[in-house]
Amino acid sequence: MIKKFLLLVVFLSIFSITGCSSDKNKRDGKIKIVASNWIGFTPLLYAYEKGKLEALNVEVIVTNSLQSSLIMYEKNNYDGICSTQKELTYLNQNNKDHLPVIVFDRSYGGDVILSNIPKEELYKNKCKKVDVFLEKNSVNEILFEVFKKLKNWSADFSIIDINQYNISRFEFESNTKVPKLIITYEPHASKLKQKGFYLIESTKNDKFLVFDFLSVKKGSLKKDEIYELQKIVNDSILKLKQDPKSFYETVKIYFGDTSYDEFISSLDQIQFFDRDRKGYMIDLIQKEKVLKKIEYIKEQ
Amino acid sequence: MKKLFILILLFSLPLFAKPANKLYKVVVLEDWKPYYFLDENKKPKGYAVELFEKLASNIGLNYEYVIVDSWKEADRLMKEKKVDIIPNMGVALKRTEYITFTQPTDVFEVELFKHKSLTEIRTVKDIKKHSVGVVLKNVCISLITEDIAQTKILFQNYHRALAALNDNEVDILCYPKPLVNLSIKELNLENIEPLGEPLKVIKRALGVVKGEEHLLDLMDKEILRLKGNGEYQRIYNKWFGIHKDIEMDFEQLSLIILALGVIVLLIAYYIRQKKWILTKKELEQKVKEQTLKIEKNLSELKNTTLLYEKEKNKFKNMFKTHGSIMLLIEPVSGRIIDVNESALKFYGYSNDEFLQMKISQINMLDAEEIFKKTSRAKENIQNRFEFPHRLKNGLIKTVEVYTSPVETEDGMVLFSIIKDITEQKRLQNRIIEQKEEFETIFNYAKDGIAVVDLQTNFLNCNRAFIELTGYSKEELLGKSCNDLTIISDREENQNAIRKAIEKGHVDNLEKSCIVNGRHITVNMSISLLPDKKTLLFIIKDITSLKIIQEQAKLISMGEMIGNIAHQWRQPLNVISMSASSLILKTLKKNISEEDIQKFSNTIVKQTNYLSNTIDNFRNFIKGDRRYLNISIKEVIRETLSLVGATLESNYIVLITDLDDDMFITGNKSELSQALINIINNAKDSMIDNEEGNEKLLFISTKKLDDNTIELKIVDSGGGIESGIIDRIFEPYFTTKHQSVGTGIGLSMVEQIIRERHKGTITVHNEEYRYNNKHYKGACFNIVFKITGQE
Repeated sequence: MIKKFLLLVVFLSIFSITGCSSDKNKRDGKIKIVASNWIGFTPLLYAYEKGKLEALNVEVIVTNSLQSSLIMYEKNNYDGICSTQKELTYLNQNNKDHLPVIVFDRSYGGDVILSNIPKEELYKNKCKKVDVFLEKNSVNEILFEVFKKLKNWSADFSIIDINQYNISRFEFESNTKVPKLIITYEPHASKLKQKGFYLIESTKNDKFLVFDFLSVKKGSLKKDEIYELQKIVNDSILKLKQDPKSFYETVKIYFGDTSYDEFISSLDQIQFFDRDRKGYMIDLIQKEKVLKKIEYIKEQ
Repeated sequence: MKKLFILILLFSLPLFAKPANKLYKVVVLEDWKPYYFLDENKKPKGYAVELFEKLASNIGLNYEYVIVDSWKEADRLMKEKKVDIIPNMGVALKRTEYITFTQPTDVFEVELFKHKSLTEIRTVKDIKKHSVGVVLKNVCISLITEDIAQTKILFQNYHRALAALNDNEVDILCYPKPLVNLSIKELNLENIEPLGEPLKVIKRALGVVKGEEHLLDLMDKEILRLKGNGEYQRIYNKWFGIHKDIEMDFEQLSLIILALGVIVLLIAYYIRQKKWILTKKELEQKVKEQTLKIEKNLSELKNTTLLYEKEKNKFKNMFKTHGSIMLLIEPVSGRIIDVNESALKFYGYSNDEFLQMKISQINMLDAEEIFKKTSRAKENIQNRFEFPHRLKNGLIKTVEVYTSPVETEDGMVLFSIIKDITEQKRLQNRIIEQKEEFETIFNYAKDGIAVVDLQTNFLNCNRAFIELTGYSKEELLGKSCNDLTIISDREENQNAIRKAIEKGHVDNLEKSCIVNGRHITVNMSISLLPDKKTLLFIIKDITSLKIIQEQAKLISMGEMIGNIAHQWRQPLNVISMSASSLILKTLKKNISEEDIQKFSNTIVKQTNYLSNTIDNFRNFIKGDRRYLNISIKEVIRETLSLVGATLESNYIVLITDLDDDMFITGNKSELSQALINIINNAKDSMIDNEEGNEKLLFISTKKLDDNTIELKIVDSGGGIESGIIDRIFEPYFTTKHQSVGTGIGLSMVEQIIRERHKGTITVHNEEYRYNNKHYKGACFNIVFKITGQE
């Protein structure tokens, strides 16, 4: 009886000590990767839904936008983030050592520059005062910077920071003579085109490069785990090509009301990093200096 | 009685009615605790299942379960009539197309739960920039739009989402309230608390597919019965209240009680050893002290609260009653959230009307423009704006708006102070228009205009000035007036400027300048401008006028020589005759001393007369420029000495009436020139007029009052034609042949009288009688002001 009592006291003491401390993020020892529900990241979501990441002890935290992913990543000190090169550059500027380990896709017409003035007229006049609507600290800025550089256009660009969610709801006056540039992506771009805006440039042009990557913090995944993860994602991409319907059924919970047809048509706006395109895409990444560290990408 | 029996039977039938012996398919979810879940034997359990089973048993329903994994699937089966009943489901309008619901069995609120550490989150409005967790396939997916929160995290299941909230991985969780409340109680999650503001209230009920509505009556009655007898409440409490099945053997329980008892004893002993247990007196004292302390703290807290309330009210009153127009605007939607009394008065809307409005209903700019400006204000890039604002009565006012972002309890708002500047703007525009008008006049004036400082440096000049001087504007702005003046005139120039500064202005300065190697003559006036710091120069190029004046003078001199010839003829004759008589009498040797004296005197007298005539002529030609105090009578007399003989030779009778005399400040030579001009015109008109009447010239002076004198010159030349009489003082206007007149004569007369002698000159035709004869002629009236007496 005394033995049992002493055991109980010891147990209670240990419980009271250990109960006070916990590492909230490493509590379950999982590798946490944050990804938005962007179509380009669906191979990872597919693998997650199918339970293929369990062996690697990887959990995916799914957000509604790149910006949200970045917020969550910084707030919770996660291990990996699915993003474009813009967010990756930002993270590395803040003294964080991130390694791009997987390329998912390249935006292929999904990101666009629109204007209320037709392209020929816009380039001919090169007005001195232009209103630019974009979301700051987002991929929009990549397009705009390339645009200015390529067109050698030094005007008084008045930047108006507008959330992409608001951009398609906003009542732009398309018929005013003041030139406007609207930098956006699908599905907002289609809605604006219906309102009379003209397509000026898009990521179909090899100069306007936007890639989607998975980057992880150095040391969060071992080399063989990275290769395993690459294999899982590559398999998911293959599955999408072979059986898109089944792929869609697995990931559709992340898309709200998006139908299968809409899902298929949205695939036209990106090019997945598959076996056929690997060489070409790596060349582009190197040529246009999209990334500095590509040792893992080359192995994908 | 028979009828009553039949009636009772009819009403009682449903009570005895039992559903047909059909096997109903009942759809349930495999995991939607506590409504539906599967126990370890894969048998459906949960609140909805237990309630349904109770109800089915009471009404004798045969059924079997169809288990699905999602609401979407359950919905599809109901829609396709592959199942008949669902025990519990949200009542939604779109579902009523294929499902008929019983009366609600329960309701639940969809609620937001937050991590306790986030004290700044108080209402739904505060969560915009926070991360909100939602569970896939849950109603919250569509409820949390980006208007509510921008960062949305999609969790695979409720438990993962709950854990994320508890660990503050996400800030907020959106989920049905009863389920989260149950989890909080059961798992003792102290980090989670509800926001207390339901996002949506969902009624839940039992549903049957269309075609099976006959079951509803029975089910509704049974639900009522269960609610009435407390059975329903028991089931509800079982699943949603605190419910723990504690199963513990007695030995374990005894052990825990014993252990706790020992711990308490050990602690008491330890405290006693440390003298932490106080005597009753000490305790009372301690309690008293603590009570006083608490009362003091409470009092301070109350005072602080009162002070806070007072300050709050003070600022609220300041806002509400301030004389400036003030608005509070929600920056994203543009909704007006508060206004003060000045705003109500200015715009004409009531407070309630305002609170239903957006700023775009007042601001006349297009929505995009307002958005851009609002964004700038929000980010503190720009805070002052000018907008056209529409009042309720339709009037558009120009307003100056100072807008700043202000943090409030409800988040960031835009605080705008508005000033009506419509009138100010109108005046500004008027001033701008006037300025443009004056600039146009300034630039297009034919006279040269320049503004100089008191050191005579050029500050501005117009085009005519530039053309006149031959310098560019830039060159002029680096120069002084003196640089443009010939050296000999500089002192005179300085004197004129000094005079202008002292007296306010100087007129009719004639100056010679050299422009591009060409001599020009300008007439200049200088005025001291009201700021007393600058001078206005107005110059007129009178070079061509001067040349014509000189030509006119030469013509006058030609005429003068004619006059002299006439004037000298008679005295020369007298001299000649006197000399001849002297010679003749000498030759005849009958000359007496008396004769010599007489003829010599005559010759001397005539020679003096000739000498005087020459002096008058020379004075006229020399043109003494001095302006002195002169007698009008003297001027007329001298003029007549020059032209008298000519008049005589043309048989013109001169009638003078010069009784009145006055002194004026003037120049004899100029005035004589003017009078000669008038007299010559009169002479010419009388020569031309061949009507046979006598040629009469009347010259008279008459005091009009103590200060003015009128000089009147009337001829009998027939008068001036009515069509031209109003134009005779215009430069270059002449009725004479080119060889006779230059057209400068009378215009120069007018200039001499009006500008240089401050007099007036008018002309009209006059008809009069003289020596019983009727005459008509031109009458020149010249009026001078008296300036003094010699």
